[in-house]
Amino acid sequence: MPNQPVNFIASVEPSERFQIQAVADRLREKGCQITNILKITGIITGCSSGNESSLEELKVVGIRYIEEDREVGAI
Amino acid sequence: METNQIMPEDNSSKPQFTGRRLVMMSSDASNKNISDEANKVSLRLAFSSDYKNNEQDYVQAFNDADGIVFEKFGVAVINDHHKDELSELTSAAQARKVFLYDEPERYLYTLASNPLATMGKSLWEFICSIFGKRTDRIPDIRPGDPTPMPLPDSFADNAAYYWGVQAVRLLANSYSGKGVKIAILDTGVNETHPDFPGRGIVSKSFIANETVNDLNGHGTHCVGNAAGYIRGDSGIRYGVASEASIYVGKVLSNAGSGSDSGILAGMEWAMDSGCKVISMSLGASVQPGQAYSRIYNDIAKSALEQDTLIIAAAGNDSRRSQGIIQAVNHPANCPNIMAVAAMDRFLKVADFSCGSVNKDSGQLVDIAGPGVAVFSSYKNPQLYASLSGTSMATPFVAGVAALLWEKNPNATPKEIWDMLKQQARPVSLSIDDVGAGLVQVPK
Repeated sequence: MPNQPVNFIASVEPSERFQIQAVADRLREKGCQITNILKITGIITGCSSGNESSLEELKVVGIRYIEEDREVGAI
Repeated sequence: METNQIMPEDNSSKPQFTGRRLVMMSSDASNKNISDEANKVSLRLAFSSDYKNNEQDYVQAFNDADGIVFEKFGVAVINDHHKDELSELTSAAQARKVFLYDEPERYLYTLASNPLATMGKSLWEFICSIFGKRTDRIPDIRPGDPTPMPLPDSFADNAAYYWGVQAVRLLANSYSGKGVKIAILDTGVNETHPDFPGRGIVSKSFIANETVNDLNGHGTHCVGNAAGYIRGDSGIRYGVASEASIYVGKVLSNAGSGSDSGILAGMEWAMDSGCKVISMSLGASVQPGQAYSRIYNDIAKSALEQDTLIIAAAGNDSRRSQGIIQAVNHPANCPNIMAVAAMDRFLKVADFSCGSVNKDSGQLVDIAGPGVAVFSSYKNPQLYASLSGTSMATPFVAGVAALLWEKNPNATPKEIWDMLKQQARPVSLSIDDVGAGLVQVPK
């Protein structure tokens, strides 16, 4: 279980996208730093506090999926 | 053996070649261009359009002239004993832009015992019979059917086209991607490259402290194959959608790395900009049994249902010569993202090309493109490079998607997806390795 801050990507439920800022605020209340909000695709990206045992604990109301922000390379 | 059992014919002792030559013509060449160049070497050519739709007329035309040009196919059939003239035409600086390359005409034989099996029918007679009168001696080919001309089994760079654009059949194509926006999300683009004058590239960097200018080369290479045109110093063609609108999102650093968050931002920018195609030659390795990203897949599904087709490289982790086939990379492994494998110029799957290892969860290779020793534009000072990877194959599919959208402007992304797969050239390789086959441009 991670206890270091983890960069994440999270998708917002379609029904909640019109108040995506509120969803982001809920993540901030959980200790997350928000780095970007993509309003068209409904994505919030950020970094966890590190206090969670898994990213699943950050599935606040309005979050559909949350995954680790993976490193990707040119192939 | 059953008395009514039909045994397959043995064609191995029959003649293979007729002595005539098939010559591929440039799709840009007019009948006048062809005649003028042929006249310079005293070669008399007849044109199929000048004759009635009657097989006997074609036979007479072939007897009267040194060869016949089938404009519909962009192919000429030259009578034997003209090897020297042909050699001159395919090598001379001006003529070789019209007469691209030639190969021997083959006899074709049926593969099973039946009343037709004893007839060796040369290829040109078969073509004549398509244009001319149908008889009960020939297969039922309708005028609208795909060309019966056998496609080459291998390709080579030539004086007019690099092998990749030949392999996707760009030679016969009349579309350019005009009016279609393609986004290439990669390491940016060489902003001073001489091959993109007047293209009006729209760009944005999603990498902190780095401009869009490509100091890596990978992104410029992908832009070139997807939407480039010709090499400026030689005129040799390497790009597919030469008039598409180019959108470059730098989501990978000059070191060639990035993150999901940056890529997703690039995808949103491309979609918000009205891009119909997003080409992503990037990825991360995936293990057997590993799930695909539901976030990426949801976005791609939504894009498919709206305005955008997302295409990504399958990955280069395999070592097939060592018996190692690795899974399609993230994010190409998403069912709603078109995953592209790589083939070489002999139409074999590239040694490194990932396969549908996790196919039970829908993580499939969908299609293939030219991906070994592929020529394209590059960073400064080199300007050009020949690279290998599923990264190289992906822009070909993206470029062809743009051509399809120009031809079918009202098509949905899902329809373009289906067209790409339905019109791909089948090859004798596993669907797990190359999907529907080698991408082909629309006629």
